[in-house]
Amino acid sequence: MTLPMALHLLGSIVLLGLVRTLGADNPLTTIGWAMLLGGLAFSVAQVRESTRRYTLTSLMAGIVALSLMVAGDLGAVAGLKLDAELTRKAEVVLAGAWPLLWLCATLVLVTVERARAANPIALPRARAQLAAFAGLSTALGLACLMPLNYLAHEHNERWDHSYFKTAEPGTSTQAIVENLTDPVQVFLFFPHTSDVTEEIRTYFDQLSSPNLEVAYVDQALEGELAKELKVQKNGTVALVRGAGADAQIQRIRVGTQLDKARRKLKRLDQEVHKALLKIVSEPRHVYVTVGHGEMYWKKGTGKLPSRLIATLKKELRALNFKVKELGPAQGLANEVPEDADLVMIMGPKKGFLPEEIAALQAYIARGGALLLSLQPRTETDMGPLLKDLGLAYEGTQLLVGERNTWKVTRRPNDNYNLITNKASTHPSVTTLSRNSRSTAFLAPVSAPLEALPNSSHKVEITLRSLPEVFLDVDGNLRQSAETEQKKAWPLAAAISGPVEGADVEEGEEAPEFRAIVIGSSSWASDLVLGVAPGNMVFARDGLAWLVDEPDVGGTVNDEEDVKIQHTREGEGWMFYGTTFVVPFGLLALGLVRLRARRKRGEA
Amino acid sequence: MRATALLVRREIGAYLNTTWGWSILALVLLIDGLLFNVFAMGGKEKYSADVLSEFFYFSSGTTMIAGILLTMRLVAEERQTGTIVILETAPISEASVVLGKFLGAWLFLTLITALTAFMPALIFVHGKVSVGQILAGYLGLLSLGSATVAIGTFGSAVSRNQLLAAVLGTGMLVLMLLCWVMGQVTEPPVSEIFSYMALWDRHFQPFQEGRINTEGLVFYASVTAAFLLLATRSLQVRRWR
Repeated sequence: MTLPMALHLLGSIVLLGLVRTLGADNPLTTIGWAMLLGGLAFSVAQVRESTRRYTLTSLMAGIVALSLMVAGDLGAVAGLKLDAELTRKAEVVLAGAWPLLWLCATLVLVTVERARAANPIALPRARAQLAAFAGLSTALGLACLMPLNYLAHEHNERWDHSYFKTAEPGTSTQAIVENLTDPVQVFLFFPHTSDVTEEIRTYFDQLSSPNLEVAYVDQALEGELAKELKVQKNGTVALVRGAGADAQIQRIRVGTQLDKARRKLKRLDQEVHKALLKIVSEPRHVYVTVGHGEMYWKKGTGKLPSRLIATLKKELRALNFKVKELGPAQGLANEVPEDADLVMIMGPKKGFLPEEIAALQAYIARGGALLLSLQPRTETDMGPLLKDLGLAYEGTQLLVGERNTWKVTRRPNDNYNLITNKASTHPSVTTLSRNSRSTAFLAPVSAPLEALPNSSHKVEITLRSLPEVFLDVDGNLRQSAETEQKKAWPLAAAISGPVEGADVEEGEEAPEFRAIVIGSSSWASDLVLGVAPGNMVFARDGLAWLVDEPDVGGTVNDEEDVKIQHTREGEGWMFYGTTFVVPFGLLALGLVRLRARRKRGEA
Repeated sequence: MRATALLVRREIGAYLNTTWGWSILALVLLIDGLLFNVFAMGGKEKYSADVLSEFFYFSSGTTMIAGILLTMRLVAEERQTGTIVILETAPISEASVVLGKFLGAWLFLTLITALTAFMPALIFVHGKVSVGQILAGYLGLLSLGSATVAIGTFGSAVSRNQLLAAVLGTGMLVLMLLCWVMGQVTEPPVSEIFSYMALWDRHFQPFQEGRINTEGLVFYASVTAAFLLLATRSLQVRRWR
């Protein structure tokens, strides 16, 4: 680097830094000016004839550029007393012109000086000219990129290819629509210009029923209707049953901007399903027992995620159930409330009082519905209640699997977490049964049920473990062939029976009680429902059968993203394959190829 | 064009017919595989879109490293071995030389990037990701790779040896990566310029999330063009001797 070039670059940096930090009128800026002028002076004294013109011109152009910068900083444009618009334009031009001029000057200087350094003895004029032109063209080329990028920034086009799909109607939603007895109107308040309209249309086109009318309206054009349905803006789906004061209306807010509506569209089927259930049927009452160490839905009570049922409660509400507590404080020892459509006993750890058992027995006898999830290895004795249902449950020994288990702690205890797809054809497990290839049930920490012989009720084992599972008699998590047999153990049962003494009119079905008993309680916990979609399917179908409401069961689609996790234990082949086999395999292939080439060359 | 095509073939051959090229290929796949399995797929459960995003996050780092490793030898090796004289005296313009070398390195980098495709394909197994999302990520990787290779080509063009070329290339790359820090500590409009010039922070992240922005494509193309132009000028200076 020659002295004039060094002084020019250093002077420019110093001047720019001082002007930006201290201001152009600060006396310290003379240091920068001194450097620049010093560079000019040295070049006049030292530079060779062939390059003098280019070097001097570049240095002076650089000084002019920096002068323009300083003038702009001092408000020289305002001093010209032009009108506001012209002043603004002049300032913009000045702000763009001085860096461009400086860049051209500097790059020409650099290339000419480099050419001079490459030819210390003599530099022909033509070569000097060539070098200057190279510098200038480089500077202009780089300068052209700046407005190009500015335009790209101002007119940025975006294409979003992240996963998005509007949920399609699930079997449960379709069942509700097909079984509608009264007309339901669906008003879709969306403008024709919105992208969301097409997504919504795709969904509702798949729901067809004589009793379902779908209309596309614009909130701005149908003000009266919007006011009647209390729809304030477009982007809303309104479902209406009935008319006038008795009309039942449910609204779903989706939005009209596709990028904001995506999340709602992914869960559209869930929302429509929930809304339909609310308008086509009265809410049912489910009583969940408390006071015996059962699983509960409130966090912060020292409960682990495996003992929380907040997700299940949320699902019950979505299925139009009203959830209430039923324990000693609510009079369980006296009787189960008359309005109870369903009673759920979720993993009790303490015993029920005899009076409470009697109340539950009376509830079943009068045609109630019961969901009983048993907790193994506890003090509870549900024997009398289970005997009434035609079942027995010891609960002291646990079932252990070997291969198909859920690895959550990566310790041997994970073998208690059974996975099964062995569902019967009973209505309470219809969806699991039909989708057994793709959907499985997760039963953590389970003990087997036993169907008692000669039961007067209809007892069907609805879920069994895989045949590789054994009952761990000695508790060592390893199978002893003599005492521990591998077979498909009963995990869940559905029981139904007639209500004694009920008056049945001709042509009507006899009322019956229904119950589902499961030999594990964690199946319905927040921890498990979050990872096992099959368990939620089991819950919906089970609830649908218990309350004799087929619309509640089936699938409700959801296109929300899913959580995944691969572990070395679970997918070891994937881990070793992707990490080691592929890279080293390719390296080996390359080395073989090179060796073959070398041999061919030698030959 | 013919001369450029010949140079491209020569450069790709130089990678495929030497241990160096295959070693870089295996190294990148090994590091990508490790990071993918340990951090992206391993650990706690994550949404499949997040897993894919993390894959592209790690891959962008390995792509930049591979870009510097592949380009350090482009011109500097020729200077070290003395074969630069052949290039300088050949009836081929400096622009063709630079373009041919750049394309050769970039195409090899594209091959390495394409070979990693089996990893995001694994996310398809249980996750919900779209082909478009994966392709957008790869477009980002190739664009970032193009800019990195151009920077490395310039570094190699101005260096006397490969080590210096790697150091120079890495230095320029890091400077451009750290522009986002300069954008945080300066004031507008300078902060906006620095923020825009950041090689990864602003322009790569949308690709990582499955979004294609024309602003990002133009930026990476501009960086590539700028450094290739500088590399061409640098080679021309030598001819002025």
